[in-house]
Amino acid sequence: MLEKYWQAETTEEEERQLAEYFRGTEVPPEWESYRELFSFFEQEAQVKPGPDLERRIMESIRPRRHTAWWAAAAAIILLLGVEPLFRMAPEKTRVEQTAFVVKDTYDDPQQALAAVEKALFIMSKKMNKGLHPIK
Amino acid sequence: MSLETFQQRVLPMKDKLYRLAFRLLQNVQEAEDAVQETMIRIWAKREEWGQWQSLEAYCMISIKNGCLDRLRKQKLRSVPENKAWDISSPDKDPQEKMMAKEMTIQIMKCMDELPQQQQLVIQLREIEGLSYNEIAEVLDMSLDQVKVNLFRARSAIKRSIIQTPSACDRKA
Repeated sequence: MLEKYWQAETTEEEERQLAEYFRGTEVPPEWESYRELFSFFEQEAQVKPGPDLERRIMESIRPRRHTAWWAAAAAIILLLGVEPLFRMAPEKTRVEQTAFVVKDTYDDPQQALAAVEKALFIMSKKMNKGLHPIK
Repeated sequence: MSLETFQQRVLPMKDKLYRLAFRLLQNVQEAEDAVQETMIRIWAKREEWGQWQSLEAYCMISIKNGCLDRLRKQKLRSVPENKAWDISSPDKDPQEKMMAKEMTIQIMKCMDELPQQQQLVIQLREIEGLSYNEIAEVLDMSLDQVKVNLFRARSAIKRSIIQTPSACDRKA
């Protein structure tokens, strides 16, 4: 089988058997160098990259922590950017409300008084209803 | 394809990819960078995974091409080579130096001196245990070419371990 091996005619199974044989200690002295060869292949198959590589790979395909920081930074910038708009918004609303109140809606004072009285009456009716104890 | 599938099917191949990269590049940092680069490339093509016959073969082809590309660029930059069997190499830790027996050094030296195709065939067959068909696919060779390369590589290694230290220099 060893001869077949050197001729590159062995199957995978036969090569596994050879490797298994040379892994043992009972090897004729003239085959000692072959034992070292199979042992070398076995050692080479155990070679691994540094322990940090997996983390590096995962960070490069899923830069989770970096994304979180960038998202947080972007959110702060966005908030700082729109904050003056929030401050200005209520002022505008107040101006609009004031303008609405000041503007006359009735030409006849009697009509206006009647409308006010009606509105106050509705409001007081609602308030009385709200203050009435629950039965 | 999900991140979970990547972690289950692709990430565990990193050791195998690293060994092939190190065989070609002979440098720890370069080999690790090549593996990372390959993994990023495979992740970027995750929508195509279903179309590939063998994910493993695709990964091996990808790392091989990535390394050959790096070697081409290295040649352009004339970066000095750092041979793995050179026990004075800074990549070797003291324990490794202690364990590097004379015969092991002889085998490593012989493997490094083999033509690139023979090195790759030996690496994929003896160390990664790939079938002739898989090797043919990864290296884009015919089955006969795989066997011829394997025969020549094994013959050179055989000569180097049973004869004088310079035997590998007289390889076929």
